[in-house]
Parts: sequence; structure tokens; C-alpha cells
Amino acid sequence: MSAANDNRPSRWWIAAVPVAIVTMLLANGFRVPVFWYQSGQHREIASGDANEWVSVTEETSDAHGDLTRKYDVRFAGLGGAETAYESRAGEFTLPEGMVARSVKLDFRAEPDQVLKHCAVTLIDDEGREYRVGHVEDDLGAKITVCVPEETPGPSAPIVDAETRGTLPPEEQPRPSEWSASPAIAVPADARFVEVRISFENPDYVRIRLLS
Amino acid sequence: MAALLASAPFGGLAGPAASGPETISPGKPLMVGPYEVIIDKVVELPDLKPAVSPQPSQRVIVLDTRVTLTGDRPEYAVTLKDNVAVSGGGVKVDDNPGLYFVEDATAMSNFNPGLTYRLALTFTTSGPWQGDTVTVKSNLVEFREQDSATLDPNAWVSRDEVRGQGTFTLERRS
Amino acid sequence: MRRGIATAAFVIAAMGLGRLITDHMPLTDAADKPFIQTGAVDETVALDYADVTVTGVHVTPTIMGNPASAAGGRWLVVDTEIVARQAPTVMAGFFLVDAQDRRWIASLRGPECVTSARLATGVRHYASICFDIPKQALDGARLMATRGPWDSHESTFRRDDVAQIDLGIKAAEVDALWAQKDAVNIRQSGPVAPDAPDAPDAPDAPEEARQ
Repeated sequence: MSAANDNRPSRWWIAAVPVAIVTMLLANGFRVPVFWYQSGQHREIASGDANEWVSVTEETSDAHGDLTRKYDVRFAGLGGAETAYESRAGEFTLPEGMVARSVKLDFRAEPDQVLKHCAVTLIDDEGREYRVGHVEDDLGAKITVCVPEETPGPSAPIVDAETRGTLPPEEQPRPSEWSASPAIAVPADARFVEVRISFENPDYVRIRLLS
Repeated sequence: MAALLASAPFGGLAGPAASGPETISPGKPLMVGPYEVIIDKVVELPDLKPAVSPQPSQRVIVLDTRVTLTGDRPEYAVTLKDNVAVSGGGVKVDDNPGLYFVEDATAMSNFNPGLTYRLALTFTTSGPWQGDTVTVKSNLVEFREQDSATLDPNAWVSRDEVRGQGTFTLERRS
Repeated sequence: MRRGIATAAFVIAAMGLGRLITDHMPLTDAADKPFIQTGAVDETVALDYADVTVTGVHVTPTIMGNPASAAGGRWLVVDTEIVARQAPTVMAGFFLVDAQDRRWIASLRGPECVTSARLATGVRHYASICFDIPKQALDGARLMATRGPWDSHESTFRRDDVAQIDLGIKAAEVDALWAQKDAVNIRQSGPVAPDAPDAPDAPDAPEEARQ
């Protein structure tokens, strides 16, 4: 406890306390990235206003390693008030008070960029989120939400044998500029403040509406 | 002597652990973890439609069983499927067997306790079985109350150890 | 010497404090417990992420279909209506708790029986949950509905909202329910009300929908 000659107790433990506290927090802290940060939209990678081009560079990866996904997107308005919408069983009529609004989006990207499987989310002034295209969504369009249906462009390689940017035979390359208008089921009277475009958690692109 | 008596509360007087696998035979109950399994017969078929439809060159070995989940909580079927295997036919056996309710050919993925089902445990093989007998083996599946390494308490864990083994006469049907 | 006594007193006091904390603070119990919201048949139970209503309870040996699905005991079929109010939500935890506090899990075997619900914000979702259970599970059965799937540690819905809906089965009714022989027809789960004129018929539904 103390040195025999000067009778002073060791004080080294005082220095160890902050180290121990930091170590403890780090050891428990893995839950924050795993169960919260990476499981939702938590990192805004680009933002802009309606009717202006937003340039997006997103870090991603496929079977061959890391790469970046680059595209420009412009929100051009909301349209439509259809009462018919699609589910996995086919077309159905939306409940009273809800409509399918199309989100008009213009895109620019190189034909080799992987832009399938995007999700589009509308957020209203009460913070409610309406989404289409996410892997967990049963209703609405899938896979080609942000790309032309006939020329959606390449898929991400999921095994080593596949090469990046290859298209199925007979499929034409995607044009360098195109428009998409995925429909989302929303309340007819909702006022939207934000559109989000996202491919993988936690990244998303934010476009402000009603500015 | 005193030391031996003193060890009694800790199992000092218990017999030696059962050594070697117990014999599985037709109609005799066998425990696979929480499941009580009675294998009535073993049959080879070209298919078991609509549940199993293999290639024409392949065959299906079916264990015709009655299965009851004992205990008081539900379990998933993998605990049973992953711990029974067949061998001895000189052919490749698919190590991912199917488990189907005989009455309606639907796949069993989980069980509630206290119900007995007649189930087909199906193994797809690469070709016709050689010989007239099938060796059936089951793994030891133990209940583990605490495990500090996995933070997975009260789980059924399969050990790399044969708990039951038996030879069945193979019935062939086409 | 005096310093030694002080240190000893400090250590003993610290240990005593630790003991007080572990004895009187809700460390494991409350830290793990879900938030149970109770209700009964035809009552809407409001959870953080969705409103859950049980609209029907059936006991039958057979669920209609091609082939019809037989119970090992009896099918307890619970018809539900669920609406997510705030954001798209996946509910994968549907199980029963009986009068003895035992758990019973849902089966996918019956045609159109589901064990999870993918909810689009604001669109009412209709789903039937089927339990293959022995007679002893009927008395006092309550449906539990939450986001995380049931597992033996009940760890996936810790500190989450759970609906607990009394299915209204009294001990005296169990024999009569068990003796019922009428088969039950289950409509496909999804956004279309089962009694709607355009509801898809269960026996003709595509096979893939049963995955």
C-alpha cells in the first residue's frame, strides 16, 4: 500500500481511473453503432432544395470491395392522387383518405453506377414517414424505384465471379439522364417537408420541400 | 472412505456417466434434446411429393417418426433436424434434411410442447441406397443453463458426440 | 495506522453501497422488461409504433386450403388489424401466453397463416396468426404482439412496447371450443379487408405468398 521509507500510499490508481472508465464505455459502446446508427437513416450524405440538382457520392461495397456510388438527383414535384396501389397480391384500392402520390425525380449518372434497390421516403410536417422500395416494404414498386424499368442498369456483384457493371444479355445500357416517379401511399391531406433517397443505412440524401 | 462420503452431495457416489451411444430401434423412444422421437420405419422413395421433389437420379430416405416436444416452452425445428443423420448406403446424403407433417405435407419449422406429430424426416441422396440397412445416428443435445462465452443461457446445444445409434431395415417403395 | 483504518472503512462503505445498489435498484428485472399494453377483442391497443386490434378468434382442427392444414392439437386462429401510424414497421413477434404464463408460438403451416407483418405507414394491414396448440393452452389465452420475434430469452423485445390482448377464452368454454369441427378459411394477409368484395380467396392464392 505504501512505500516503507516515505510512508506515502501509491497514487498510480488515480491515473488508472479515467482509463478504466473510458475502456468500460468503449466496451459497452458497440451497441450504439450496431443497434442504432447502422439500423436506420442517421447520416445525411447530401442535401438540397426542391428543383435543384443535388450531387451525391456514397461509400458502398460489393463482392470485389469498396467503391463509391455517384449520381445527381433533382426533386421536380409531387403528382398524382390515384386511389389504386399495388401489393404483392396485385392491385388494391387504398383506404379512404389515402392516395398514391408520385414523387417526380430527375437523375443523372454514369451507366455503370448501381442504382437499383433505392428507397424513397416522404416525411410530412408531423414527422410521419411514408416509404417505397425498401427491402422491408410490401406495398408499392420494388427494385426499379429510381431507375427506368426497361433499362435499370447493372446490379451489384454479390459473388467474385460476377464483374462490375455487366448487364443481362439483350438489356440496353441506362441513359445518362432520366426521370422516375415512384408512387407512395400517403394521406391525401398530408403536407410534406422532406424527401429522402437512400440505398443503404445509415446514409440518406435529404431534399427540403416547402422552403 | 470419509472423503468419498463427503463428496456424495457433489455426485461422488453417482455411477459412472453412461458410456457409448444407446441403441435406436423401431418403436423405441429416443430423446434428441427436448424432442421425444420414435422412429417407426425407414423408407426409400423416388420422391415425396408435394413436399420433396428431387432429380430423377436422386432418391429420398424418409424416417417415419412420431415426435413430441417435451418440456414447457416452444422450440424451433432445427434443434431436431440438425441432430439426426443417416449413413451406410454408399451414396452422398444431403446434410440439410426436411421435416414434414405427414397429414398435410407442410414443413414443420417450430413446435409447441405437448403435441405429438407424425413427421417425415427426409434426406435427399445422390442415388439409390446400396444394401438393405440404414444406420441412424443422433447427436447428444444438452440443455445449457449458463454460458458466459455466448451470453446464451437456457439453450439446447448439440455436442459432437453420438447419443443414439441403430440399424434399420430399409423399405423400398416406388 | 490511522490511514489504514480510514482506507478499510472506505472500502467497506463502498462495498456496502454496491450491495445497496444491486439490492434496491431495478438492474435486471426492469431493465429487461417490455412495456405491456393490455386490451381485449375488438379493442384497439395503441403501441409506440402501431395500433393493434384483434377482430376475431377461431378454434378449429382444420384450416381450409389445398391441401387443408391439420392441427397437431387445435388451430387457434387470431384475426388482427394493424396500422403503423408514424413510420414503416415490421412486426415479427406474435405469440400466446396462457393462464399458466406458458408461451406458445405461431405456425406458418396453415395456408395464409403469417408470423410477421410488414406495415406501410397509415395503411391498415389485415393478418391472421395461427397457433397449433394443445387443449391446456386455450384457457385464458392472450395474444402478444410486438416487433421482435419470440425466442427463449425473450430478449428481442426488451424495453419495447408489447400488446397483450385477452382473447376472452374462459376455462368453462375450453371443452366446447376443443370439440368444434368446422374448418376455418383464412384470407390472404395484406392491405385488403378480408370481407371486402375484391379480397383474394385463400385457396387460390399463389404458392409463393406462403413463404
